[in-house]
Amino acid sequence: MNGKSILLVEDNPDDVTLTLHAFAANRIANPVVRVRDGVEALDYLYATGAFADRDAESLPAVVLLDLKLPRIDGLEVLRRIRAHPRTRLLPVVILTSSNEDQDRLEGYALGANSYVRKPVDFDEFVRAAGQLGLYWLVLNAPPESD
Amino acid sequence: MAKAEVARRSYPLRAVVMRTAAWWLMALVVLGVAFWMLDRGQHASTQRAIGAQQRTLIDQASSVLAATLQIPIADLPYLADRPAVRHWLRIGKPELLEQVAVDLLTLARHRPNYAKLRLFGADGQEMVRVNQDEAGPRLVSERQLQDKSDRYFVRDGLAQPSSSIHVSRFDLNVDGGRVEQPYRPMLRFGLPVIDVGGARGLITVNYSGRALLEQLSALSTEPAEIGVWLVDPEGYWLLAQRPEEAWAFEFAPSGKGARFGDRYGAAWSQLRNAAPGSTGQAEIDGDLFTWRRVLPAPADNHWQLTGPGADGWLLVTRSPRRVVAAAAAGQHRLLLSSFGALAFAMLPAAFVLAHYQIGRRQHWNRLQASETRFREMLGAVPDAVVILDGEGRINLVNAQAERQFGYRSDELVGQPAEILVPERLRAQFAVLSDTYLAAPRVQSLGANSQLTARRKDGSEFEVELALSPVATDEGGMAIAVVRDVTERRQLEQAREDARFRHQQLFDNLPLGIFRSSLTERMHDERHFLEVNPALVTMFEAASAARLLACCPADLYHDERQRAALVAELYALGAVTGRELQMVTLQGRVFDARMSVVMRRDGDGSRFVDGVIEDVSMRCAAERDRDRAAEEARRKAAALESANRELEAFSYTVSHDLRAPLRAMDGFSRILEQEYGDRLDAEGKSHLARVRRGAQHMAALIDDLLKLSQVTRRPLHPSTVDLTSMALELTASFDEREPKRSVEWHIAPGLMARGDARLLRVALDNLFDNAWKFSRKRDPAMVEFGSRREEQTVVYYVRDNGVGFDMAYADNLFGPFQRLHDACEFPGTGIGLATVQRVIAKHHGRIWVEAAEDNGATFYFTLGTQEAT
Repeated sequence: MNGKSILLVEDNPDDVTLTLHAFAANRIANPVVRVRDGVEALDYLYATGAFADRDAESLPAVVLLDLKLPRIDGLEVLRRIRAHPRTRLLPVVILTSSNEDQDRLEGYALGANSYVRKPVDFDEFVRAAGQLGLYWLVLNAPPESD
Repeated sequence: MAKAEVARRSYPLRAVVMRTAAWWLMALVVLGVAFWMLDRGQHASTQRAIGAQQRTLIDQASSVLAATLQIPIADLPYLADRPAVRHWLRIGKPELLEQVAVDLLTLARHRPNYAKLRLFGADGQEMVRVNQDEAGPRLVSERQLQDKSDRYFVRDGLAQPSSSIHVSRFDLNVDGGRVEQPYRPMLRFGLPVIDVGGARGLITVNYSGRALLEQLSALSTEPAEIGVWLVDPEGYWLLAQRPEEAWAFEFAPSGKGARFGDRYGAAWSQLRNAAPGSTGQAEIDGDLFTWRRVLPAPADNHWQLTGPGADGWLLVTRSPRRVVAAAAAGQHRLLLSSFGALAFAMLPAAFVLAHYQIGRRQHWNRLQASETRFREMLGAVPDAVVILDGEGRINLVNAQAERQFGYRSDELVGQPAEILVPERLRAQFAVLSDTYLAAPRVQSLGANSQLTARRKDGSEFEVELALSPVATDEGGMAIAVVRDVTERRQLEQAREDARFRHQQLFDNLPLGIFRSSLTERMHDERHFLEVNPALVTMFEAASAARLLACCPADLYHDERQRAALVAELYALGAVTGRELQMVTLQGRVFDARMSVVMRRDGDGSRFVDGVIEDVSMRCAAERDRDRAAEEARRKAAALESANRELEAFSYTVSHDLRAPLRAMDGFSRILEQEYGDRLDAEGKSHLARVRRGAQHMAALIDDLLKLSQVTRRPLHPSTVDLTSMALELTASFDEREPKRSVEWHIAPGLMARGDARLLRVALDNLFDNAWKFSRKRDPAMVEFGSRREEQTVVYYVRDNGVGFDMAYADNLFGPFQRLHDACEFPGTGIGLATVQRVIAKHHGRIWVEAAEDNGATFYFTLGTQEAT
């Protein structure tokens, strides 16, 4: 497991806490950067706004993206990530409560690498988080960015 | 006219020349054959004449030869019988020879052609010899007598019997081993004399042939070509056309052309074996030969002839081809010149013949063509044409007339014209006919009055008749053109019927129809030309006249509407479906719908045709309909908005309601794990209840969402393999709780047509149900299969679980309905409602059969699908 960060885009503090718990339970030690909405997420990725000081070249290993976000929603964030040459290949996992077909299809159409529904049963969630970490942080080495 | 005709048709020179040549050639061939035969005849007769001449010559020569040679043949026996010779033979005294010499001398004096007369002894010694020359006979002295035993004719003569006369070859006398000059042609005869005592001698005569040959030669004087030849049996000439050709055997026996056969081979092979005594004649290689074999003595002679001369000689004449030709030449020339003259004379004759022949043929062809043209023209006329002679009889009809009247041409020709008229009208026709015949002129009948004609089968039809007189060589004739007007009359009737129908339509239509005049200036008033009864009624006029009298402009309620209508009409030529308000003559205003079109008359004046419909009723109805449609649109919009709200609600439920549940469950779990040591058993139990509640709530939400999805989702039908779908589902059940063992019996090959996703939801719920309620059975059994009921396939899912009382079955498919304790058999109570929705969306049916504690079977159908 390398030390690259995980960008968690989530507005619900409960879900943030639970997600971090789930990572801890799976012994995922990567730093988790948490932003509250789409605007912050994009600012972080492109080192603008509040994150202007950040090194824009350093990208997270994976973006965990909720769909229902204030200001700019998850699908729009995904569209912009895929439109930008630097983040074109950045792994994005949609992590959401929604199980609507529409969201699922649109997410894949826009280039989401995976789509994970947050289960109510916390045990299941821990399992899912473990699988996510295993796949995106260990097995699937991120592509070299241009 | 005639000149123009001639000029137009050029003289057929080529044809005439060819034909002339043909005739002339034919004449030449015939003439040629005739003249050739004449010529042959002439030639043959010439040949016959020459042949006769030759025959005469040969006969004469043969007579001369025979007459000459019979003398020595007769003289020898005479000498042999003389007593002196007999005495000498018997006694043999030499002095007896004197008497013999006297006898020989005596005879010699009478025979000037006897060159020698001798008596030989048996040894060949001359006993007596008489020589004779121009001076006369002379006895040779005893001293001069010689031994001639070496001579062939002496040897042969002595050897032969006394009844035979030896005849030598006819040759030239040899004296001292050489041929004596001038030639002395010589023929020797010898007769042995034998005494009874056996003494033997020989008497010989040397006959000089010169006189004989000269006599023969003299026969062939004129013409020189027909000379007589004498040829010996070996083929040597003794007497030839030229003297040097004769006696070749004496000088050059094998010289070229020495023998007859060398020069005339074919002739020689034919005449060499000629029988003696008869004359032969033949044309050989173009030459005419006549020949005869002549023996030294006649065949019935007492004496037998021996020796080379015994076979006699051939007398031959030859007339060469050119001689015969020369004889016929005069005739031949005459024939040739006659032929030429006749051939020349034939040429004009052939030309005249050809000229007339070609001319006649052309004339005939023209006549034929003219006739054909005439008949074609007659046939092409669309009307029946009947040509009548001066007496009103039918002379000629065309094909159309045959068809029209149903007669064949030969049935009509020669018949009176009235045959074509119905019997009841014949009297009338006769008057008509007489009137015409009295003063023939072009006239047309039947156009105004009815003229009826009759067919062969008696049926009648209406006609028009045009009569034209024509003058012909055969007298005045009339051409009658008969037109069948049945069809025209029918058309007229049909037109009249159509007009009537249109009038009826015009009168009966429940639409106001009008035609009104329109002047060039826009604002001039129009007035009606035509109105139909519906329009009269519409405008509440007392009569059509009243409506026609009024001004159309007064019938508009709103002058502006009228002005707009008129302006548009002038601009576009037509206005369709204009709705405006009009006013009746009684002053009532009504809604009208008007369509008008502007037209121009033949003389340029304008008029308007229009249709007016009273749409007051319809307008009211339309207003109602519009209101209803508006209502429907409003409801649809409301429904759509409700649907959108529902979707938004579902989304919110799905997304937002679950978040707090997740928090409840998640934090309870964290409490349990991380703070569990600070809680007693009751506290832990309470935490567990919180979690169960949260999870049940989540399940409820999921199921409700699923139900709502089923309801909203449109059907995407395809062919679905239910068997493999069922196998996948059951596998996931087994995975979920590996400790339980359920016997799944899935029928193979279950196919259906439907929405795969929805069917999966339905099957999942049914299996879940069965799986759940058979929990207490061991072994638990779930069966999925199908059976056919008439046209419908009924699928079923059966379990051997706890079942239920059928009394409560009605409530089973409603949402949130439960028949069992939620603790014992957890569930949301939405599953079967969802299944029911899916089946209903497929136009199918679902029902259940169960008994308490005895399992349950859910049946469903999918419309009227066939299982495959």
